[in-house]
Amino acid sequence: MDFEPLLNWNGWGATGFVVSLTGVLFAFLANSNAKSAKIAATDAAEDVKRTIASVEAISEFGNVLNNLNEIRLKIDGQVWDKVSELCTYVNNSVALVTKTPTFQCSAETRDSLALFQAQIRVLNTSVLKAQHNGGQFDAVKAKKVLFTQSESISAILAELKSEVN
Amino acid sequence: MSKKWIELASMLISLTASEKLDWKETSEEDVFQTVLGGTVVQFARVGNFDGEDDYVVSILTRNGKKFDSFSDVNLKEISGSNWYTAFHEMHQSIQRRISGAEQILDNLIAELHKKDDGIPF
Repeated sequence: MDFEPLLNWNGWGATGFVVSLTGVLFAFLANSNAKSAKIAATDAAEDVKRTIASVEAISEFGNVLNNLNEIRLKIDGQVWDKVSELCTYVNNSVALVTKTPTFQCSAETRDSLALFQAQIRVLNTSVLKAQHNGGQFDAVKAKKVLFTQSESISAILAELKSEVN
Repeated sequence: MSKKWIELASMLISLTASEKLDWKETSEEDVFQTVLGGTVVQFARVGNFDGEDDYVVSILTRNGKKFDSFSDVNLKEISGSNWYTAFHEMHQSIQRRISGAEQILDNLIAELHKKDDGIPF
């Protein structure tokens, strides 16, 4: 059988080009599908990390609320060293949350937490003055401010819980 | 740094006067704070060794640590101007707003204006 005309057919050049172009296209599509799958997997992993950070934040803010309540009781009893200790715990809890890279929250929440930490430091300073120098301490004002701070932490807690659910 | 202190103090005074800063009270009688882009600014009246008051502005990091502060005395040394009166007025204005006295005064003035409408002179 003479294959010469078939092999010498001019159409092979164009067909070969089309076939190779199709190959390149399939390779590109397969690669982009693999990339999309990889991006989706990375996004899912990031979502999981953020959810874990939110769950941990819920737990820490729960501790903060309990400690704020304890601080109020210790102020009533003028147990200054315990108040100072609890203030430190509270600020450490908030710092633990805010310094977690995967913890995400609104700019308002960040501002609210920054104000909260500054407030707790002011309270701690007043308590230390009262404890060591016999400085005056306005327990009524301190408890009023603690109440406001508890409300802001409760609001943040509710926001986080709704995001996780 | 000193020029920035003066700029910051001027902005705080002006924005407080126009009620554009949301100052919050703290557990300390004469200490107020506000937050701007995650940075906390505290404004306090403190007694000095001469038995007089100084006004101190402190800038705090996100986790509440102080990293800079200056007083009306520092500003006077830098600029030669008296900052005490401006800070004193700013402090009183914040106090009035937080206590609700400013709102009561506004309402009272509005009520008086209503009554004044009927007077033909």
